[in-house]
Amino acid sequence: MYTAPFTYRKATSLAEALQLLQQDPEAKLLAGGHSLIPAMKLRLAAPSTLIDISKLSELRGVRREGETLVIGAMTTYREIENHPLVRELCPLIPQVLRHVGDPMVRAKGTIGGSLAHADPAADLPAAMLALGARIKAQGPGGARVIEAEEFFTGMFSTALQEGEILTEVHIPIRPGARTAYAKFPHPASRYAVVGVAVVVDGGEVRAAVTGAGEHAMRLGKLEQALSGKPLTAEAISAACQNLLSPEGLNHDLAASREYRAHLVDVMAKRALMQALGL
Amino acid sequence: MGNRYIGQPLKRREDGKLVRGRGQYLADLPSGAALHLVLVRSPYAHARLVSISLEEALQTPGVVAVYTAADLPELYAPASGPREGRLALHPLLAREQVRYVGEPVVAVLAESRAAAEDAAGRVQVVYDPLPVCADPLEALTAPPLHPSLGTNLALERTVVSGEVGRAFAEAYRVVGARLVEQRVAPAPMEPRGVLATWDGVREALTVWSSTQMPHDLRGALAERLSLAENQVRVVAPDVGGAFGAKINVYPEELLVAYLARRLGRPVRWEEGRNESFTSTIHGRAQVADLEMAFDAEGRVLGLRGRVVADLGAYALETTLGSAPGTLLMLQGPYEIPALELRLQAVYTHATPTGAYRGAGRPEATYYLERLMDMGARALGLDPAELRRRNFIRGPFPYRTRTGAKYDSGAYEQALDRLLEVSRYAELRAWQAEARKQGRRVGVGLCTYVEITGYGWETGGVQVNPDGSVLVFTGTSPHGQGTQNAFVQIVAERIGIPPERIQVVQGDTLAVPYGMGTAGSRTLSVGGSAVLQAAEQVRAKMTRIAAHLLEAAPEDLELGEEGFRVRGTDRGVALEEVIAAAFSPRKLPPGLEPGLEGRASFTLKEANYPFGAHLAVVEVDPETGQVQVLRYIAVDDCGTVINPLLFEGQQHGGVAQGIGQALYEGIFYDAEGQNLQASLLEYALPRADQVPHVEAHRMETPSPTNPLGVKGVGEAGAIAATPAVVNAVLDALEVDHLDMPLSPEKVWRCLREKAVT
Amino acid sequence: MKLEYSGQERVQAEADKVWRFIQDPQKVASCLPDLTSVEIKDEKNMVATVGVAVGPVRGTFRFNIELDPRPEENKVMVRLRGGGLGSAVDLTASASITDQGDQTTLLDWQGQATVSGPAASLGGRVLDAQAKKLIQTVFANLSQRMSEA
Repeated sequence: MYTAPFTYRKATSLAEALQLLQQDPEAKLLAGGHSLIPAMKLRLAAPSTLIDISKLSELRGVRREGETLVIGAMTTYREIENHPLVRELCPLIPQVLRHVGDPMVRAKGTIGGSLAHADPAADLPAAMLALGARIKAQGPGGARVIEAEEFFTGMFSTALQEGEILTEVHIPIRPGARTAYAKFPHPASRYAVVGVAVVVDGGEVRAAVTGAGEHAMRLGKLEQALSGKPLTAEAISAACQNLLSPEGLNHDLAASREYRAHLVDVMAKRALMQALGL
Repeated sequence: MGNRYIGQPLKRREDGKLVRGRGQYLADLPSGAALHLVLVRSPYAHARLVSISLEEALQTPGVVAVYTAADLPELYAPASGPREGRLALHPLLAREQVRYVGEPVVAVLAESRAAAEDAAGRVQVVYDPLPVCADPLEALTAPPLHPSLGTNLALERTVVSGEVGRAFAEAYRVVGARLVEQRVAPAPMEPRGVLATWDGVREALTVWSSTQMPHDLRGALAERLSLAENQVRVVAPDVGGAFGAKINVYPEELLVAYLARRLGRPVRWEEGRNESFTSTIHGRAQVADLEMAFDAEGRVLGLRGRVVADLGAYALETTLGSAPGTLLMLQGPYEIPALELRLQAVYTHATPTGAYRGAGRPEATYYLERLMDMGARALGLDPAELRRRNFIRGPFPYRTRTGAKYDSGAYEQALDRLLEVSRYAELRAWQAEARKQGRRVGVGLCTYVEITGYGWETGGVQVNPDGSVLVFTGTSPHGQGTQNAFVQIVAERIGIPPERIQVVQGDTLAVPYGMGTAGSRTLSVGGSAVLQAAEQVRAKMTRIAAHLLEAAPEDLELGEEGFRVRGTDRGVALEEVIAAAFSPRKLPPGLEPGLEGRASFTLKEANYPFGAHLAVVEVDPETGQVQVLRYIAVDDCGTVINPLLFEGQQHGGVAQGIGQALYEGIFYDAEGQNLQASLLEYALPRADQVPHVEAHRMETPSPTNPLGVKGVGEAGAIAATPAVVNAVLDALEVDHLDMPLSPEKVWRCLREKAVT
Repeated sequence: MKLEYSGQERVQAEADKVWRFIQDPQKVASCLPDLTSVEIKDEKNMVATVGVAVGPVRGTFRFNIELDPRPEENKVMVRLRGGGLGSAVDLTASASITDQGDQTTLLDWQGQATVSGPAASLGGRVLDAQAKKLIQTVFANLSQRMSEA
């Protein structure tokens, strides 16, 4: 399978990338290419121009800014997974990245590419919601910051506007938080049928699920049931019941709505037990 | 004298090359000036072709030609089957109607694959959708797919033996169910592909194809394109798996060759991974309604019922051939005093089916092994004990009521060996303990007999003046590594070490004739031909050595140093013997120069491998996910030439069998859409889902061939599916669930049990 | 692969106006989202090309559209047949039209999409979303334009 013809442009700066994006409404940004290129090869997508931003140094790297961990959009999964700052300050991200694709995908795929693509079954969005991340985007008119919760708007849809480029991910550092990710993978694709990320930060319980609906979402019912409560195995099991109503959930050959709803309960419970070492 | 090479675990020599990506698969062949063929395929399962518009496609840069059926002569892919079968032939491109999703409709040829794909996207076909029947049971009464046949029923057979009515009337227990052998995709790592060139000066066609049967393809090309077989050369390069799917001559192979000749330019076609899910045959695809009657001691009294085979929309070469194998093998390794079985094979609006690793035998084994476990539950007997009470104990050859003639077997011994190596009694105790702790663990058994080998084969051994050897075989493997076994056979017989021996295969210009690699026939048929050719060489070498040593041939023995007069220190080195073979004056009178043997071997009767397998599984009660914890295989495929190759087949076969039991399945919706037509949806087993296979073997020689071998290529895939299903159902403590035993299906089953 | 959708739109116009609108193919076509071209064959048939964009999927679909107003049944049927991205899409939608007697009309619609070919298994999720969006938007646009007319 080959892609339809397209023009390849390698951006040398973010400013140039923004400008190229302005010039051609049919252009697409190329990051790691592990979602876009397969779609192009299947001819489900045929952008006129690919603007390669994967090597822009201003979009790569991990740094600490006060109580925030900042990850450049074009940092690869592998760089993130192995980064000492990430491992120390935000262990949930490596916990999630272990479940993404395979070593080859992780060597090329980027955090920004994944979030902007907003696959409803991708692993990272659940972590972003559970962590309360903020996503920074640069547009022709300037930069803005979008809360993770406002970022995912639908299946493959985000709050990013035409002409905007996702530049950074800002993750609040939560010292002492206990985290985990429990995933039930699709038997063939290994995307998440259901994946639940949890953060237990003092008395606060934060949880988010991916794969279940049109986009990743917080598990509000679970958070309310457990925040500020003693987190015993019994309390967790009791809370992880009927977290989501099957109506409106995704359904496919691997899992009906009803089974998916059940898996959300099971994965939420497992993630919490694992985070708390129960 | 013990064997030096036969029976030794010599490593496969090609692996170093293959695992480093240095194989020469079809797509690796140099392209030169070849045109690339891309096919526009039907998105509908059944539709009338209203109109096809090619203008836009033809305007695409790089496009050379775009053809519909109207531009081609009326050609069909070859089909075969039992004499009474009704064959619906597959056209190269659809004429007037399409009958399955994926049927080729338009051929686009361009200077590059990319340009051909661009143009294919611009072909506009208007379809008028027609009613669809993709279900084999409904197809029995649905309007015929091919009105000229008057029916969808392509084949019907019955087997009646013994007093079935009485068996069931007098039964202590009767068990039965509808058992579905779901459609699966063979999914070889390398999809299909063809490259053809036409030499206008010599008027000769050369076709490279990812095929299991070069000579069969040569015959089909010559016949369909009105050429003589001496004008056609077929080469099978490295072939990356086939599992039976590349036995058939497909429409694309004829089309590529036809177009190369018509356009006077090389043409190539490489099947896409997603394309392969609709355009390469599927396997299995049967529905059986069967009942088994037992007496109070657990002895089988009778078996009756019906098997319906889903053929898909057209017949290819293996489409009608698999289901009769199911009927033939439905007695398995058991004494069954009365049988009444009916087989019906029907056309449906779906991808054609055909031979897939086991081709008919896995289905029969699955049905029997499911019924055995149902019987064990109904009678309150251990599944191993129930099987033991029913084994055929000879004498061999043993004729079954279904018409098979088992050459040799030791079914009870295989079970005994399995129970011993698996420590079965301990396993059951462990299971009881685990169950008390709330774990859902299961142990599943399968005892089986299957059928391998058919036809005849050519073999050749040619010793060159420098002492290197070429071995020629008409078999054409696709990853099995059988050439290594041929090397061992030849080295054993002529005393030349394996590293001096090369095998030539898969080229009709180098090998006079061959029936290819299929049905686990390679060693028992091809190996026997090579053995006989080697014996001719050995006989000639012995005569030459005798002449050089001035001794009688019968007094010579062949050792590591060459020939020696038995009981003396007089000998002659092999090099000297070989040199003499090419020097007329050193030869005994009446012997002509040269050192080669050519032989054919006909396998007069098939051979019947057998064995016993055991799976241990655990079900996650919360998610329904199944994990295979242990897998133990005892297979007896006669004499083993190379235990490493043998074990490789055991491991691979078991993995495929686990795949069908737990993960794989092609299911069509009411519109005849294949919803698993990509690896995003179609789940093949992965390394972390297949346990280390504890592979054991027994060696009961087969009397059907001089090597005493049977085939091992399919045994694992035949036995593993029922063993794993039986284990899961044992864990769930239910009678039956259809495959694949997906997490949701298992979860629903557990939930229902909890309610009731 | 069969997908089913339904919905309801309240049009700020009386039923007569709704019927006049529906019998004008040009006007109906204008309600197709991301319409790139339309060719009116006759009062009931047209060929339209619409852009498709969901996440990674971008392309054009070409549809033969057949309008079948059935005033006697207070119903309009629409059939779109065509495709793109190597796949075929058949959409049938029907809307029952009920005058509410308060200058508004209720459009109760049901749609059914059948996706055929490679996209049915490959882009199933995406095409499902797209078909749903297409039908919803068509009826929302219809409602809006009818109200404006």
